[in-house]
Amino acid sequence: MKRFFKIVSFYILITILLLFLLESLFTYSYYHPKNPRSKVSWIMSMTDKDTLDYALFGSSRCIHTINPTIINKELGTNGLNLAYQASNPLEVKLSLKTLLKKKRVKRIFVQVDYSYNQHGPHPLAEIAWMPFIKEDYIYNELKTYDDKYTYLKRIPFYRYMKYDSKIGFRDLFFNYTKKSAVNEHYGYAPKYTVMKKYKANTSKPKAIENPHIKEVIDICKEYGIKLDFFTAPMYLFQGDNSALRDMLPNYKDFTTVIKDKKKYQDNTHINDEGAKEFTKIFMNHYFSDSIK
Amino acid sequence: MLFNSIDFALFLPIVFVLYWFVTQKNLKLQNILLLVASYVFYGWWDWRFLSLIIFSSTVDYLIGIQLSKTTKSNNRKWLLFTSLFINLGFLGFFKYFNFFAQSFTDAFTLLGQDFELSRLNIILPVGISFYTFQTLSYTIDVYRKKIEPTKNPIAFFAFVSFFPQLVAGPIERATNLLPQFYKKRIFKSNQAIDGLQQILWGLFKKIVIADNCAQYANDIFSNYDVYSSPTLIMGVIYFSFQIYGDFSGYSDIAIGTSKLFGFKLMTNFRYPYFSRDIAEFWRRWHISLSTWFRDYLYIPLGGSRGSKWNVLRNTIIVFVVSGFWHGANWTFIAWGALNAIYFIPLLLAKKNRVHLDNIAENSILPSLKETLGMLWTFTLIALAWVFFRAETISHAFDYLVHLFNFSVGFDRLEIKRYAFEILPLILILFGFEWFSRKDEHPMQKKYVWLKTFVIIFMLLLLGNYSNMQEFIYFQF
Repeated sequence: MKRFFKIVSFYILITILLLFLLESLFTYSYYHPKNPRSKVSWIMSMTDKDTLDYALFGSSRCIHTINPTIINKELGTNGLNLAYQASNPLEVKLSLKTLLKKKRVKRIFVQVDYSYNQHGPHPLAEIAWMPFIKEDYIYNELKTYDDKYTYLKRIPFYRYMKYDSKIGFRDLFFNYTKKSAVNEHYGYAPKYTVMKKYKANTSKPKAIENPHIKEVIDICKEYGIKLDFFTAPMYLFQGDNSALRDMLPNYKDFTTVIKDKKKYQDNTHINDEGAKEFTKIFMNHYFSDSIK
Repeated sequence: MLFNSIDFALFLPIVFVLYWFVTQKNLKLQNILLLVASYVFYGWWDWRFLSLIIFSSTVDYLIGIQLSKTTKSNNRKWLLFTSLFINLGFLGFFKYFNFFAQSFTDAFTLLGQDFELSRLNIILPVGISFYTFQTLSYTIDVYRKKIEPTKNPIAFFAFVSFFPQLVAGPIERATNLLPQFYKKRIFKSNQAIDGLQQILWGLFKKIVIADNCAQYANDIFSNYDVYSSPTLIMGVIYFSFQIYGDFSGYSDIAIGTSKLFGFKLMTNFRYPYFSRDIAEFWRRWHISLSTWFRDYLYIPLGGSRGSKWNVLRNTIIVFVVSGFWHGANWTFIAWGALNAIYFIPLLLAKKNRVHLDNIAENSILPSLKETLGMLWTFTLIALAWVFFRAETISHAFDYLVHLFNFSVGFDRLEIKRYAFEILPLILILFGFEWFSRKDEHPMQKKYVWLKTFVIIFMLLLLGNYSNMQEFIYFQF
């Protein structure tokens, strides 16, 4: 029996050591990626302490919508699209806080829509933050929503096992071996498909203050950052964004500016053709003073 | 309770400690503990269905006693018939009622008659096919006087419900397992360590191989109409390894767990994908079921005696019934029939018992003939798995039609991964098994420490924890 328990203890010890080893290896790789696999990892790995002229935040309705390459080329600016899929106001706030630890920024644009009333982390968007959950400012935000974040933070390697399909071995492997699309086009991710079926969007955000958006506003005031909110185009929008207009400073609703069906990949996302047109509209609206 | 769950990871050490440290001096207490633990294990899924196991066990226990008291042939036959009727009646009702109701309705509709047999909302009790066959083997063996009827109800009830193999086998024989409940178990370190390593190997096959293959196989089988031939071939290969990893992984965990408690269960898989012909495959795949059908169906039907026609008939019956045992769907019947078709030429040519040894018995690599035999057998088996995996017969045929349309290129799947991505995992499994093909499981003999380290490492690094799947054979 003694021998058996010795061996069981040895197996447990090996497992624990491997958990710590893998935890360190994975976390290091997400902080220092060769090819960042998420926007969060990209921001975390930024080392140049330069100043950005602008940064864009939001969900997939922002990543596929504004191409900073066009703006930067036209205006000679230095801006990035830091939006990522399913990002809610909480993730926007965390992205901004993370960026400000790495760089200075003069102006930010936040895409808002029906997700304005979301308070908690999005189940998909939160995964990008898991490698960095040991950072106090991230953990303190997340833990208020669920106890699971305590286990994800404290049990070594647990977060990489739980979300293995997104941040597991495959992702780590590509981190070193495959060129990433995350930081191409200054963060813009083009979509080339054309919408076939569509359904009108009837969202109507409620006029209730979002604490994360309020904090974004406060942070911008504190750092002297110019802040603009906007809503990206939707096909056949039949909802009502008046609450956003009432609640947010410097808000601009671009919902109906792109009407051509061929410029959408689905009813809430424009494709690359649409993005070219919309980026120009966006640039003319916000950077008219700088356009030569 | 799933073997690959936190619940089981807590349950097992608790039962182990109580078994070896609290009840070890009293055999009866040990058996009571195993019985209670087994009922807790099963009840974790649904307490209501415990009554079925208890009822089946009671019936067969009492019939066993009665069989020992009577020598009259007619009475003995009636007792056996009662056991068969009750056990197979339960199985038939819970597993096959809706299938027959639907099939009758379809048959009448085909004949132009407007007749509909209503279907019932029945939940299939987990493992019913397994424990029904296990308890039946006892009654039949007592009837045949191959085993003395037990007068120890605790041992018998524990034998029927023994938790490591209760829900997905191996389907144990009373002749092997029941006597082990009569004898005092002595803790043997070597046996327990071997059990632990076999559990690790089973977990690797389930969590690393089967669950990863499942993600790809499910996607490919669901969207087969848009994917190319090479991708559909990958789908078949992935499912072949999913079902193997899933089911043989379960058996390894079950056998390994039993070893922790001093029990020895029968081997259920002996590297079946290294078989050189179909007959060899069926001697190596789900051995406990194949031998059950051999002993309790094939031989009573006449077995290999009699005319060629009788032997053929018996073989076809066994394969078709074995297919039907898996599930109430024509796809399983077709799967069984297809395997019979594969098997019959070997039987007619009297070549069904050619490969009784191991492949590459005295060499590291197989000969060309062995390699070709192995590849051909795998191809046949893999194609038959299409029927096993498909939802309906037409789904299976459609899949095969698309597979043989000879389009080229691997697709990017709906799960945003390429169709070939997890082939290396299969190669790892293949490598481990090849070099251990003469052993009970690969975690034995040479380099045990290194292999254990590698398996733990791969379990942590490559295990699929975000898409954990139930064991496939739970549904049977």
